[in-house]
Amino acid sequence: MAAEDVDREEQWFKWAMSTFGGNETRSRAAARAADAVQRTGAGFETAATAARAAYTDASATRSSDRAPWEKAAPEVESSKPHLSPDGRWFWDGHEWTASNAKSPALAQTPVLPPPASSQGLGSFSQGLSSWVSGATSENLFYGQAVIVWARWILIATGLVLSFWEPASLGLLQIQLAAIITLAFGNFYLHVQLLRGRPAIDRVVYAASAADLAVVTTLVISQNGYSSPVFVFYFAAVLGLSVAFPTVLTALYTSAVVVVYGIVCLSTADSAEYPAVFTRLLMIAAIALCGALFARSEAHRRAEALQLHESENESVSTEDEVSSAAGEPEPVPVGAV
Amino acid sequence: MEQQKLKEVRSHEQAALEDVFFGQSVILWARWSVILAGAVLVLWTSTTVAQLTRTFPFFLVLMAMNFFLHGRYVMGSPLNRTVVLAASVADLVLITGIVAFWPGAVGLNNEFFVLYYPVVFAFALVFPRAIEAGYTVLAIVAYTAACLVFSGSALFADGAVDLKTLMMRLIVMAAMGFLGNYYFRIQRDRLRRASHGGPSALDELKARIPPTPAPRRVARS
Repeated sequence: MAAEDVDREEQWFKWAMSTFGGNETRSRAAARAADAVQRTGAGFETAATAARAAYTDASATRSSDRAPWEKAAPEVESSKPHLSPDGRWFWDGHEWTASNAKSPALAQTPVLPPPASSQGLGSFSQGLSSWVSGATSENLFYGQAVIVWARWILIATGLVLSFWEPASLGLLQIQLAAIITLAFGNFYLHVQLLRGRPAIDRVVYAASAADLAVVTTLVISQNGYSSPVFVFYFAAVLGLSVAFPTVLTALYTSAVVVVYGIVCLSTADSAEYPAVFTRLLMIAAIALCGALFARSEAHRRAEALQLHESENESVSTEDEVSSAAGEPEPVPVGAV
Repeated sequence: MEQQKLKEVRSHEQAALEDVFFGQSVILWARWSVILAGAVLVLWTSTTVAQLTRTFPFFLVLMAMNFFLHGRYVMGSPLNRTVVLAASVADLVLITGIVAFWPGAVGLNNEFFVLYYPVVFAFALVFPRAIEAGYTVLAIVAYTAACLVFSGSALFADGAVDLKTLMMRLIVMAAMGFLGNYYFRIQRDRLRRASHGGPSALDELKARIPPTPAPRRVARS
């Protein structure tokens, strides 16, 4: 069995060398990852994805546009060329081997980007379907990070300010109970995110609704319009506007505007209506900006994927044309 | 090599330019919301003709500027980063002016500080972290200065309750900048991965989860 495992890892190593390039260290890491995944009974596609991820792990990323959660990974580059210039042969230390021989796992699988639906428009165009499907959307996964951090800011600020000249015991009890509940919920969501198992969409939607409910409760408990806590609506709406589908962003924002508007109108003087109007308009403006940006980015990603796919198609077409023209098969150096 | 054949469709510089181009629309819409709020407020709260004629021209100027910027954007020739920066600083100046000089309530008592929020948020969605941090700090300093100058003594009265309110507003203002730029960087990373045709961060995260140990096979002799 051990020999089988070694053989499979070697096959993956050869596949990684031929598919990703001639970096031995990274290909070895990719092979180990793919082998480990395949041992769990996963199919070729899943193992290839794991290999790709492991290979990418070792590659350097630009620090300027690295995602906040990413850590700098030192690039390990091999100075020795392992792959023939045409990419069809590689040197494994002993002999030149064709990179597309043998099993399907060794076949030169084109590195295709994930489908546009997963990285492109995704949930921004799916409307209410993610509400009912019980799925986890990729766009929501990225937006969740913002929501979780917005909620931590809300919790930390609320906690500190609650102890700063509390108005009454009853109010402090309400505030602390709400904040602790939010903190527990947010801790759960954050841990899920860090483990790569983002909560299903409905849980995220419910959590955001809870945020808004907590802020509204605090506002009402502090005499409505005069409560300074309403500023937390801005952080909550910001988070959901970049994460949720546009329809849901509109629904949530409308709900906030209506509920907070009613609370303010019933507790404010008519002289204060302009201020109420400004608050409501700015909450809507935050939602608009977030949703616009999220949609614009989704379009850019979808366009980038399309460009990438068309580039790859043109490259492969050129290859086919050149081989059809009867170019002599390159002879690997080691074979001569 | 396969990897070499996979052309990156966007260079770093091109992506930075595109950030300003696409992000501009967010800034433009944020400014429209400020203009709308300001214009409605001026019309709503003016009690004399003199007051209206004194305050409304500021919004007319801002409107003209945004018409120009939006027009250029729609025509596909948006202005460069310096002009966008200057226009955004002008937004801060105008909002600080409203907070400091609005008839009736000034400083901390002025309720129009909320105009800062969409402007800071939209800016954070367009520019890299260093510039965004500078802009957010500028907004915080401007608002704090306006409050200290016009409500300085009141801030520390009654157990500094007003100071607490000011802190709350400033924290949310900082959060607008931080969260906006955090999302901006997430999107940069996603776009970079899409341009490379690489796996998404979600896929990578899932791949990093250690597989459930396979049942040990019993070796048969």
